[in-house]
Amino acid sequence: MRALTEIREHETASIGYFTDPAVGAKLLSMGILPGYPIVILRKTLQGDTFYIKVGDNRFAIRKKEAACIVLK
Amino acid sequence: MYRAQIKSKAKEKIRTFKVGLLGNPNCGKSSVFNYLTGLRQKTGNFPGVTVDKKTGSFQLGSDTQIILTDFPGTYSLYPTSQDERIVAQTFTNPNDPNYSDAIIYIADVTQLEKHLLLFSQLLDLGIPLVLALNMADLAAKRGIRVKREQLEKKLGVPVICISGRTGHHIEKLKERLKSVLDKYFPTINLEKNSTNGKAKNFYTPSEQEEKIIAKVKKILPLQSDYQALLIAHHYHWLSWLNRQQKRQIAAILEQNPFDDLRAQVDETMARYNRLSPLVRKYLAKAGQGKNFTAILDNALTHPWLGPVIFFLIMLFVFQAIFSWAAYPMDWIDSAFAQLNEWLSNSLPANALTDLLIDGIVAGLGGIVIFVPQIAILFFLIGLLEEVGYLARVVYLFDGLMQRFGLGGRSIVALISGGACAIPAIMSTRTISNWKERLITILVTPFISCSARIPVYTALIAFAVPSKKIWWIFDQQGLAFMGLYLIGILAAFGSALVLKHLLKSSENTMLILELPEYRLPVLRNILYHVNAKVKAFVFQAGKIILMISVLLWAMASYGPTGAIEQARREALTLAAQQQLDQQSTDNLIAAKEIEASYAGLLGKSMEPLIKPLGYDWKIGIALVTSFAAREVFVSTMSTIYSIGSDAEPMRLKERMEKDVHPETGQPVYTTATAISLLLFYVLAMQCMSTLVVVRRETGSWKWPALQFVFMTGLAYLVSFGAYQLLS
Repeated sequence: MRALTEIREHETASIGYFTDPAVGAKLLSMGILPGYPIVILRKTLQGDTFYIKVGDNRFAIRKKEAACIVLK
Repeated sequence: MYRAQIKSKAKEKIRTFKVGLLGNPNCGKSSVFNYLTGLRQKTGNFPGVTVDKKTGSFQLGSDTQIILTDFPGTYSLYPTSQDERIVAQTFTNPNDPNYSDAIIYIADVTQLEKHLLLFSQLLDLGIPLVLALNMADLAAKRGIRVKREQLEKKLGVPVICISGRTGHHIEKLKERLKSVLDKYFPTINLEKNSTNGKAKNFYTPSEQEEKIIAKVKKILPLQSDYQALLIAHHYHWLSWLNRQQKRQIAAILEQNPFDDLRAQVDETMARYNRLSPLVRKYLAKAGQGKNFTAILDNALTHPWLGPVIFFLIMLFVFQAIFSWAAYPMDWIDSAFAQLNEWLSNSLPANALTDLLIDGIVAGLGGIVIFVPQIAILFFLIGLLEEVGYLARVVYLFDGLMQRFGLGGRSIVALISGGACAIPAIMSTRTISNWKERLITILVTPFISCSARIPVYTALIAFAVPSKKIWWIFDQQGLAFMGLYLIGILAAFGSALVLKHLLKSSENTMLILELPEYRLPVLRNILYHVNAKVKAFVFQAGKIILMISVLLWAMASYGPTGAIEQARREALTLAAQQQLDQQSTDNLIAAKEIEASYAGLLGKSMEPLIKPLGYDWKIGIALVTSFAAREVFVSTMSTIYSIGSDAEPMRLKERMEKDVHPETGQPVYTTATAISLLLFYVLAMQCMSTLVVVRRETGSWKWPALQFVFMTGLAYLVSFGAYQLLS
């Protein structure tokens, strides 16, 4: 079991579950669901914000929140 | 008489309905809103918060009037920001003034699955709905086909494919809205009858939830079960519940314990489990076309190229507000000057005319002068927002700004503040986290704005000799840059302090959708500009006008007889020195302002400002500067009787010659000038900004605090500098 913070850029994975319920609830409401393919497209210079793609949609997410996404 | 009767009968029959416009962020809601209401729209605030509430009206046939409210873009009825809370707060309370009779729900058809989540929640609230699938033009291009009729049957609400971009099927949307209203609110019986033909609930609550719902419904008159469930989730922050009701709900939840967040996740998943198959079944997707977003974002969100491009774009924005706005500002200036001249030529010379010309018309001019900067900034920001770029700015700068308690979007306000703090502060409405927004509002005025430039010019010339050091750099230019840097430093430093001082109950999370890049719709941007200009001129403008009339009165009137006496003295003195007409007038102006209330205030301030190296003359200029910082130069010029429109450099020469009547020492030393420069960098001296801060924060508490900490800091720093240097 790896968190989203542990995979390399451009490596596609599948969302498993969310460890933090508040973050999970927000992710769900934005259509980021378990089972969806997820990929980190790039990171900012300081590496604290990720540019991710889930299905066809793009999101900016902080490292802290990304750590709550556990991959299958 | 017969005609009149018909008319009154027709009037009786006109029915007015409140309709809400809802949808996810980036669903294209505002385009639809602009199409439906045209220019019949106004902007206000939702009760208790400073979040834009746009309302507009339109006619449906001859007998129905619609008041349309544009609600903030929302993902779900489980809010995570102040904007989203408004929607949950409104739709859990059937007595809320904004509670809608019906809802037009806008969903982006290219992202239907996630856009239907909120729709399914609203469906369960029991409010009549019309579902508009937006971006029909884009969907057609991408080969997305919707089985509209089947979807309509399955969901039990009217479904229309529209385009807010081209206006496609907007008329049809109105027709369907009318048929829904006619069905739920039959004309024969004017009583509201919303249970009529109610659709079945989308989400089936668990057994435990059912128990809670039944009990909550016993204490509150609600329209649906789902409202009761939402209240059980949100009761602790819903402001429309009284303390007793909150206690009762807390008691219910104690008897029937339920895991708030778990239940929310389960409910959301249950909704998707029903939605996903529907979307798969009724939406046919063809292959993806070329993706411009991916290509553009390779550059625009590149780790280091992205920030470079951003600063180039902001340089352009800055240039636009800074120099392009100068032309219309000059026109406004000269138009008001001409108006003044015309008025003073055609009206009798008396106190009332003075009030009209120098008080009211000049005050109005001081308000209208900001319009070009506001319009240009909001045009360009609106453009960047429309194409989807501002979300990328948040991505790029969130990490950096977070360290100072600011949000990614704060950087746009801070940079714009370099031209003028007023539009910059007004632009913070798009920062959804309240604490980040508040800190941005409070620190933006530290950034040196264009009004400080004339003051800097006059005083730097005084304090720093012009001398070339290292190649092309002039000492004076470096001093100028130093002042800007001090402002930036003060802004970030105080943001850091405020970050630790201010408390916030809001979650700080960043999960932000980066929408696809789209061509902007000019109409939307112009409506946005129009709304912002109107908000400033008609809402903030009223208070600014009152204060500027007050400042004018203080500078023109004094205790009984004082002004007349000053005038007589000046005339005697002028006669003795055999001055020409111009110099005599200048001398009179100087003596009069000295004798005015502003003069008295400046003089009585002298003990307070003496430790900073200022005398009463600077005191007067500090008082009048409150109308606008650049007034410092004209006030000082008036006091030195060189005429209020003298060049800053002439003022400098005149100030250098001023000596103390008793000691014979120069009044203005380098130390004074530096101390004054630092004061102008740091002090809050702009009443228009304070009024706008009041409008954006909803209370006088914040502008008062801002005034105290900025001016307090300025006092301390100037004090330190003067004592050290003199």
